[in-house]
Amino acid sequence: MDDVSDETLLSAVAYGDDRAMLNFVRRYQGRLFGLALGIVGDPGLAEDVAQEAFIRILRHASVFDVRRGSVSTWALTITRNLAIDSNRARRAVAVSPEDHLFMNMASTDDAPDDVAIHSDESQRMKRALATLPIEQRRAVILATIYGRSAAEVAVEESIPLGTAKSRIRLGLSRLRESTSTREAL
Amino acid sequence: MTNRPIDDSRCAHVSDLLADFALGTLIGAERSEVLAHVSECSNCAAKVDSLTRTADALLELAPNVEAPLGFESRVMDRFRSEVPVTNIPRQSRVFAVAAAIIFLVVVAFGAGALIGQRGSTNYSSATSYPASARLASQGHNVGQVFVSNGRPAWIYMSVDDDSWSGVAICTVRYRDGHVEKVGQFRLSNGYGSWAATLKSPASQVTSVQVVGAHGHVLASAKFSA
Repeated sequence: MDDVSDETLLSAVAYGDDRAMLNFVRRYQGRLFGLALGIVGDPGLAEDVAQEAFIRILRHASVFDVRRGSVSTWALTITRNLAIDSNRARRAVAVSPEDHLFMNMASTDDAPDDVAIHSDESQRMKRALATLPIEQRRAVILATIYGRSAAEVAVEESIPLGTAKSRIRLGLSRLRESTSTREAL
Repeated sequence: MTNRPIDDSRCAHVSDLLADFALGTLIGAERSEVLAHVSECSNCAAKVDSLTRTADALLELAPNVEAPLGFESRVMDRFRSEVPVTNIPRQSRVFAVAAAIIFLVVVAFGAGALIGQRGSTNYSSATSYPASARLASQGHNVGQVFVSNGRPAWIYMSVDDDSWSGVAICTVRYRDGHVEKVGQFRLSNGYGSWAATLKSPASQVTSVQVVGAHGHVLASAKFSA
């Protein structure tokens, strides 16, 4: 099943096929574990989060709606939300974004494995992220990946609330414009 | 959503809030205000949708980190232990899924919609998709085939027959008579499952064949008209 699309594989998962489930876990374990680790920062906790994400995905595969986005976005969003919940539950201490894996997201140097995994769209997004001023990039990553509110970003970055809001808004808007402009070309 | 004339002043008023709204971090009165506006303004709704997709696209940049040794086994063990299904022997597992679907088809279309006689290929109702049909070999059930009218249409097959091993080829015949080779798969210890997309709508599929390496038909399934 290595060459079937994510959507087809998930359909087979929804039918309860063990082989499809195992293939799905193998296909996505690196990405979901990587995302969870990036957010919670602890390998043991990241495994708990990634496991729970897979359980939910396997259990609810039949409700996935391809019209609302890709399988990967769906799976990654479930993982991110669980990781954010985990951080909140243990009242995770604010950590500087530099200490997390995600500050590497703007790097234009990809490992060979990552090049294979990331689509053209992701590569465009990565380049767009690299063009943002560092303070906007940090604010956007804290808000979108770590689920921080503008008020939490303001505290972590030691900036006024209004500044945090505008950094998130401007950063996200610039990313949107940058990627949508390229799509239109 | 209605397409009312756009009130620029209202759009300008909420424009600073759209990013927070898209990220789900807007609360209280501001959230209610944006929610009410985007339900009426297609331009701002489109911006929210675009901002949401942008935020989602950032998740796709998550680094690929090798999971701890044994991770996949622990996930599968936990899933099996938490799913309220008793441990089904491998031989019956494929047919447990088939039985559930066939039961639903029977309920929906009446028992007459299904024809199942030993010694002949079994038929499914083709009026509901995904549709399923039993895969038969010399009168014996050896698996299950599903076809679905998604975009693209796809086919999924499970085979469980201890007497087979090696590579098998799957072909699909459509209503207009043309045959499509949709893929090949390997049977390991008699068991294999795989999926592929179809070039034509699933509703046009009339039969499916599993062909061995030497061109002989191992099994077939028929879908009713």
